[in-house]
Amino acid sequence: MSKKVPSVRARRRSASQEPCIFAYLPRVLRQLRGTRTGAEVARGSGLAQAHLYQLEDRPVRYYPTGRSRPARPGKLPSLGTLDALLRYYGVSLCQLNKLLLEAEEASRGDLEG
Amino acid sequence: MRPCSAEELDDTQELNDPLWRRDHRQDAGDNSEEPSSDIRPGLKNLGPALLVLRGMLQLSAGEAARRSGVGKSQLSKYETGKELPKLPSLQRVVEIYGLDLAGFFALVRVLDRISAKRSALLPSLELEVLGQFTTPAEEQALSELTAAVVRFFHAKFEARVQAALESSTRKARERRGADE
Repeated sequence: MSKKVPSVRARRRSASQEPCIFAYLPRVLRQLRGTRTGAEVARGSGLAQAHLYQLEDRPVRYYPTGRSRPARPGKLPSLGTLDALLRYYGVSLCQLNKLLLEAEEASRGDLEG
Repeated sequence: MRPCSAEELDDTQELNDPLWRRDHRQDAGDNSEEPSSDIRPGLKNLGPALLVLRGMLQLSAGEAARRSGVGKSQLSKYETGKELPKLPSLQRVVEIYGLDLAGFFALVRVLDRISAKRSALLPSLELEVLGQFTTPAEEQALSELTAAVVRFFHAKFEARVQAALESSTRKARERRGADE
């Protein structure tokens, strides 16, 4: 009896449910931007400012008027966009894995703390 | 979190290159008159790197596609450089070759340097790339893999040069024979 191989679609579905290391990428991008403005980074890296903001995590913000803006998770950039941004920040793609692992550890520490 | 310095990364020096900036703006869609290239300068060797890794493991395209859960034609597009993979897809493909993304991009950089210099890989360059990995076991594994990739790449390149030389000599001989 041969073992049944799951279909490509089933494998894709299961892969999309796996915890992905890139879940921490928006947070890493925000950390890399630091105190620089979005306009400055967008101009330097050649991205549109609105696009850059979409890629970063946005925390919830409360205004003094009582209005609040909800938190929004960042989108996953394409490889070309990511390359352009990391070039601007002076970080190589090789080092990204390390940064992502650091962000993962930091978020785990926040949850435990 | 430590961003690397400009000396550590040759790639970042391209930012000062006006030609790269122009290409970069075109890629970002600022200039709609000229067709833009999808492949950025630092990712030119991503496809060949995938191809080389698959060749080293002697996997067929279908088998690699089946294991990674990516379509066969899509994998072919990634390997030929027609399309850049999305990050999760790239991770899935690279995982079946036994690498993580950091290791894979280190290999892409090695291939970048080989194709840029067209010479043997300098030991210092190799060490610089490998210096970003912390554990000795990782360094050892990646060092062996890098050496294997470089040998494979050189063999392919030399075979192609040899074939081109042979064909040009044959043509020259035929031309000489026709003249006589």
